[in-house]
Amino acid sequence: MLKCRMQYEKRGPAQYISHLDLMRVFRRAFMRAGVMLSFSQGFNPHPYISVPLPLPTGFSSRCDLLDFDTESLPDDFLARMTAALPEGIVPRYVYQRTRGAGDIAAVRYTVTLHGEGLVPEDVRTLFSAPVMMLKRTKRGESEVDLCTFIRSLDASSLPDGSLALDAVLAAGEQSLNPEYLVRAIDERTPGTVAWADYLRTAILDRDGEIFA
Amino acid sequence: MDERLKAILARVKKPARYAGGEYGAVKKDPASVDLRIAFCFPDSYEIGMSHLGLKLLYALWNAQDYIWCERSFAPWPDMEAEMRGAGIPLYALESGDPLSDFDIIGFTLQYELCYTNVLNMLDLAGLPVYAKDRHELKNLVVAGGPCVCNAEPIADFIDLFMFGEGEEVSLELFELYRRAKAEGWTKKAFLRRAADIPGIYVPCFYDVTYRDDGAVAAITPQDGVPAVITKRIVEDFDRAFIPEYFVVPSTEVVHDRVMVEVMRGCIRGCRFCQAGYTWRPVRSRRAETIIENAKTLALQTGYEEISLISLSSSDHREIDRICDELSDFCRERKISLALPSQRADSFTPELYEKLRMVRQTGLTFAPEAGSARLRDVINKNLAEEDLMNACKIAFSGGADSVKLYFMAGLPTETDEDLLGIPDLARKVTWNWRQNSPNRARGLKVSVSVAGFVPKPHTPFQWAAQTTREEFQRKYMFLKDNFRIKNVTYNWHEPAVSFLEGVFARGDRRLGKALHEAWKRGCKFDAWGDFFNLDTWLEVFRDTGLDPAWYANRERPADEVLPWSHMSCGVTQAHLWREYQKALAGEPSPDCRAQCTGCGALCLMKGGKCDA
Repeated sequence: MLKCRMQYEKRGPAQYISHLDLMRVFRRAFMRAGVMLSFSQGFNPHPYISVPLPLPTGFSSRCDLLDFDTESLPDDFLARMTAALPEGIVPRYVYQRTRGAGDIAAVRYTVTLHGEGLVPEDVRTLFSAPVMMLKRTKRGESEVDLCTFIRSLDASSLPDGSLALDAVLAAGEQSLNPEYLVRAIDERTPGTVAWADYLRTAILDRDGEIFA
Repeated sequence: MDERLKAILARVKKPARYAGGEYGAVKKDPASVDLRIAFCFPDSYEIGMSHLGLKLLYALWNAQDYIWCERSFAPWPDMEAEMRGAGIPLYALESGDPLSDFDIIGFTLQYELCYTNVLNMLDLAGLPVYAKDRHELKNLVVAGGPCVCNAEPIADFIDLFMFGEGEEVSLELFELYRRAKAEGWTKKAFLRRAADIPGIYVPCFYDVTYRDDGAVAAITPQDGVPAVITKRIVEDFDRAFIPEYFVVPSTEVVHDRVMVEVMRGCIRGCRFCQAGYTWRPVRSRRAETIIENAKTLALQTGYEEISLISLSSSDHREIDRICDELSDFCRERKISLALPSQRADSFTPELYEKLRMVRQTGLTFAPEAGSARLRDVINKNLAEEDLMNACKIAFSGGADSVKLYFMAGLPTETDEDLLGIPDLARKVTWNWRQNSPNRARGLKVSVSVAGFVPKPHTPFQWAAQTTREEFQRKYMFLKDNFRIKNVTYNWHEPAVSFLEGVFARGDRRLGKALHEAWKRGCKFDAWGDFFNLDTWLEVFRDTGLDPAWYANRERPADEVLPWSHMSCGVTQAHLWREYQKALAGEPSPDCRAQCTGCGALCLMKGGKCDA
């Protein structure tokens, strides 16, 4: 059995596919591509596939990962999968995985805030001091300082008046959804953010290197 | 994607329903086609994408070079509010173009309680809801589906209906439209020519007059259109178009699986069943056609389940061989095989083995009535021994859940008949105790009781529907008698059955109630969270219509029924005879045992009924 990992982009209409639905989409795509997954035994056999770092519904990604086990990996795997997946899920690489998801430590995002009166300097100032917010955790809600999750953050203006954040946020055991950054900005400067879109650009390990 | 739409999709529930891009969705260059069709399903994406008819017609129409057919569904009310707020009109999923760009806007009418959604979708598309207010040939609004057999309540809003099976009549209609568009015909001229196509019903050419007592006096054709519109069928069903791909939703829908239609029509003749009468005569596909299509679709879709569908699939003469020949293919790929509408009397250990080969599946049976007497009335020829035998097979094989479906409010029903329902449930649990190899896992019996709605073109089309109050009493009576371990009991909301009853046998005057109810916010009436009886009752009062007159009144034999100009081939004399036999508690044989001469054979033009 081969333990494999596929890196893919998720964008356009596919960005609205939820994590749960995505598992089904992949499973069926494998069937269509004629790549047999290894199945569990038992009453309800299911294939070994998993996404090490689920992407929130509505986010796009340049670099998401899918782990799967199969008996054989055809040479034209990427071409077959590309043809078998819905619009917007684009496989880029496939390889045998060596590292476990536990090595994932951070994720880089580009967040585009659409609205009016958004100033990069305000964002930098805001996050130069502790930003306390209620954060949902597995054990309910607790007040945390968002900055403890931020590895790096920069803001810049775009020609159309929107604001781009380039953020590296903690992932893994202690993680932060970039929606908290947008919520914090919106709370401090109410009425400026109309909506935001989110693009995941890299998955990183503890050394800040690309996790693959 | 439109930035305004992206902003909205960031906020609404289950945005994948509105994004398109699914595997199998067809994209064409609009400049390369003569005809753009929007296939509109007046319910949620999850319901619409479960529907085989949509998949079939989508594939058939897109197989024509001159047509691009796209899909559109009723947006959930949170999405609708956002779209109206942002000024985004209803659009089709493939191109994202507004419906008003389309030549033909086609609705499928699967259920009476979707009618308000039809009006709402037209309005969301920016189109006038009344047919008379749409003057151009462009944006022609057409409809098909089972409700067309009595389309009167929605007739004011639809330009024309396609009656019966759509494969052939739709293409004849589109060819005519293509010509009309090229030659610049008026809408009126086109409609008049369309009315000459067999199976096309153009309601504006039929004048309906009423008697003083409210019943229909006459339905008079104008301008030489046919007096009776006869349902279309595909005579050679084995060679009929069969879809070789499905659009595979990227989000979970209700029925998400390969569906292969194995038969049309049903040999059983259950007197309550509209589909059983309106899909006649019986036609089957050959085993080879079915097996090949099931494999093709399984490989194309990647689905984990194949469902062999029809009104009663175990009545297909070669069902055992079909299941046999699919079983290796399925096992290798971990695909389960399902036969919905399973009949208890044709449930064998061999069949059960094949169905549960990959995954243990739950069982569903529909005795429909609790007592043998009442099952004779409705001609559901199911013996209690057969049900018990089927349960024994399943429980011995390790099944631990059964669903049982019944109806309440059937003609001649007494409380004693109703008590047969908990009695059967009790016997099923006893059967499990006798036969289960592993009782530690426990048993789940779920009993669902629905309110009976008499439907047009069935023997009960003349019968009075049980009132809401009486439904309620019956359900509570059953509840008091349903304290059985391992058994859960559910019943349908009586008010929903009542409204369905009003519209199922309604006439054209109900159009104004429909319009008014929609204006007052009614939509998604089939959904408990949105159904609002109070609004509907106010609407009926304000429009001077008595819903009980439509639903709860026994119709005399000589009354002109609002659908009397629509023929399914089955004669009124046959339906009346069956009605009288029902009232006398006499069953009829199934069509395979003995032909009862229903009349539907006239549709075959010399071909034979395959009962």
